[in-house]
Amino acid sequence: MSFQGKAAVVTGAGGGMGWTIAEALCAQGADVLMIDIKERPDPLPAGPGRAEYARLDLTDARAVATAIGEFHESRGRLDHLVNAAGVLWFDRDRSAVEIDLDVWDQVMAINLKSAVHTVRAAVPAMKATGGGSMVHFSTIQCLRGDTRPQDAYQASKAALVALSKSIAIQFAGDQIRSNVVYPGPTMTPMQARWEGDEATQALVAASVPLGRIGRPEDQAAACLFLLSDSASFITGTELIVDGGVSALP
Amino acid sequence: MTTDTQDRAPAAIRSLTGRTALVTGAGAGLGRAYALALARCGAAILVNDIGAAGAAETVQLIESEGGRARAAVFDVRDGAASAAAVAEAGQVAILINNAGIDEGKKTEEIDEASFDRMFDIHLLGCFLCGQAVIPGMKALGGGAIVNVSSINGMIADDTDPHYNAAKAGIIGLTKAWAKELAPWNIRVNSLAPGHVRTPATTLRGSERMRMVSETRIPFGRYAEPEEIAEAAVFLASDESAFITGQVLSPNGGEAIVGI
Repeated sequence: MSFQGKAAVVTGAGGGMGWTIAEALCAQGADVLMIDIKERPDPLPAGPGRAEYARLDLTDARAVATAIGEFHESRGRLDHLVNAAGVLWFDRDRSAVEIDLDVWDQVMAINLKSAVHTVRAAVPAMKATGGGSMVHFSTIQCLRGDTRPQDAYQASKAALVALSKSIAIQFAGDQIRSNVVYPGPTMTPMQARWEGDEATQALVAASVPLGRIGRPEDQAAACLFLLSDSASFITGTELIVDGGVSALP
Repeated sequence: MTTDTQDRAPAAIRSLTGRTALVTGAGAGLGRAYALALARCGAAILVNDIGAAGAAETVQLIESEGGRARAAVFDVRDGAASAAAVAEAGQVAILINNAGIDEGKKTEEIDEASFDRMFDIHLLGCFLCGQAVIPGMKALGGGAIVNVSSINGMIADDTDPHYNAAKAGIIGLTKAWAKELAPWNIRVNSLAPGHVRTPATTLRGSERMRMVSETRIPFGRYAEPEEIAEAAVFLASDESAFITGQVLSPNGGEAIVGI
């Protein structure tokens, strides 16, 4: 087990990619604090690493600080942070020219400011034990536009990349690495609209050069690589995990 | 983080057992590190180099660790030679296009022959080795090609403009192949290392190393070849099953400074 003895925080771990990442980290021996606003899944990942679940609102800075602080104290270390929480509100997140501005603010708070909250809690903890690594989940959507826009989602995810680069530079001297994964189309609860709709799934798969929709496991493998010491000289970068979509013109 | 801890990606998904990997320019430095790292994951290595001694030494290093390897001495600019070596080895599932040179020259010092040599070794060499392995990969139902570019292929340096341009060209070739070969489940990615401590860079002196480390690399040090090799293994293995057409740059943060 390669993450034996490590302690990791994963946001958005109540389902989708966050869940798969937490599961993989536990399977390799890490203790994982899973954070999500969703109800606690039962059972939590089996281990051998120990999983615990904090059901809280990531826009609540104090709640985030408390949960990560307690986890850090109980384990005596914090090695990894994964920011996988995010919302994509197809019905309400629209073009900037027509979106309800309160919705804009909510999306920014959940997708972007939540990462500020976790990073603020994680950096001092990582410094205390000589370093650590972070992975933040963006989207290939922010590399281009869309005729059916979700502008708040797209802008918040682009900002996350800028935040990651800045963190990478600021804390390189403290041996803290910060990188981003840009998932392409991936079968998660966020894309529940594709479930049972085989025609749409086939259409999406056909738009991917590798000919399939991504799996949460594809994203988790990239995330664990970037978290691990296999990526010890990689910081401030983005890894696109999209089956080749963005290699298209 | 150091490289000697056990904090590594999962073993099963990294396993390359049963796959043959051709690593070009594997007689020294980074190429040797790629060959050793892939062999440790179970791949049988076809160790290419233009120099027989270096290739033999790498084969011996792999075998001394219990791995499987054999030398394939040829010039990557010689398409017939690479095709023959691949035909002899059987189906190659992994290609690491690593062979390369640098010259440390400024524009006025580079004659046409030097320019052609730079492009031929890097771009033509990548292309011909790709041509040699692609039919076998198609027959296997997939494969992974890693074309080694450089941080200089993304953010240029003030020396060796032909090297910078060739390395940028390798990224273009990577994206084109990713698109062309995806239907056969052949993934093609580029690895773009930053500054690495190799025999070649060490030769340039510790003073230069210290200066570059302090002024250009947020991590304040050069990478060890083994750290770059980890990234090559990632791109060669099923860990990156959904990744194609990408550039992965282990550069200690250098690429986010001064872009």
